[in-house]
Amino acid sequence: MKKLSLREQWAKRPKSLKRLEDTELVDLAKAGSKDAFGELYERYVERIYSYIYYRTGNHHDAEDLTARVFFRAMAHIESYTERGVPFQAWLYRIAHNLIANWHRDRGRRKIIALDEFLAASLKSDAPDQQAEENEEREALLAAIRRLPEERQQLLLLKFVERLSNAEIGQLMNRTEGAIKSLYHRTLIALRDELTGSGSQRASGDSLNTRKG
Amino acid sequence: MTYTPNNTSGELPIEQFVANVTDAVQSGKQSIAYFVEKYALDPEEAAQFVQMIRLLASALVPVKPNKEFTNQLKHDLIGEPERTLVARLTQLPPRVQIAAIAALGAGLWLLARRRYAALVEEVEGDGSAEIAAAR
Repeated sequence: MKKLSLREQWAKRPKSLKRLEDTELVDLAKAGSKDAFGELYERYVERIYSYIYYRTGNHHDAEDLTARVFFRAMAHIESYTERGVPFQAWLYRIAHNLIANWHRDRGRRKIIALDEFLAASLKSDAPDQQAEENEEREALLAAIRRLPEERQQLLLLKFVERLSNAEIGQLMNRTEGAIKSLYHRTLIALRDELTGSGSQRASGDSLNTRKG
Repeated sequence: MTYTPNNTSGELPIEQFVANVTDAVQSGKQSIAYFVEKYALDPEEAAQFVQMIRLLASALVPVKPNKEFTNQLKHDLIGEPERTLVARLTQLPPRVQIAAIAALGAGLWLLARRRYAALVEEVEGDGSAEIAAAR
């Protein structure tokens, strides 16, 4: 490995990486800087993990798939070009594809998401009100699990990852307006699921004047 | 209930309402009542959406991975961090960095001073030898 001059060392010093934009870090990572990839990893590992955790429902698989996402990203970073897809969105797409494969391979499309999280919160010495809230939350999560995969993804990106509609649109290959529309239909479907009318209706779309 | 699309964006008022209320719930900054009034919605239906959004915001929270796992994965991905001289220096506490720079500066100054003194002595020595030779 080529020994770096003091000037190069200074230019590539670790502290400066924290101040760089993702695109600059990607360029450095493409040029072989492991530290730059390490910085990208630090920025996104928790978000990717959280996203995968909700989609798989357990820590073990979330860790396994998170590792696969970053190994795949590192292996293919040279082929990544921004072109309207930010690095973050690229990572989510890798995660999404791996999760889809995971569900397909295991033949368990309906995964009990958040069971451990719920169990942990239920275990605590919960007063009546908290128990009621947990029940409500459990019903909500069960209803989310019954939604189509695309809608589950939208809810996770919006609430867990706190992405904007524009960012979600980039990720899901849709316009911002289409995301807003899908979100509205998702809420209606969820409401119907919770009120028990979901089983009688194919989806909440019947309340809408538009399809999409 | 039938909604008419907004003329400018093509979005339904209810879609804009749920998007805005979600942002308001997540940021905790804006008043939800303002949006109910702005989009002139049926208060009962609006309340159902608001309740749902609040429930989602409280149920879907980020989950942090185990620190050991993230550290191990980083190590597996990139190995040991590059430990260059500059990297090591920049990782020192600021006080130590300042002390190291001051010590280095003082050392260089002392070296330069000694060298200058030796040079002056040499020149002076040569000069006195020349004077003696001239005499």
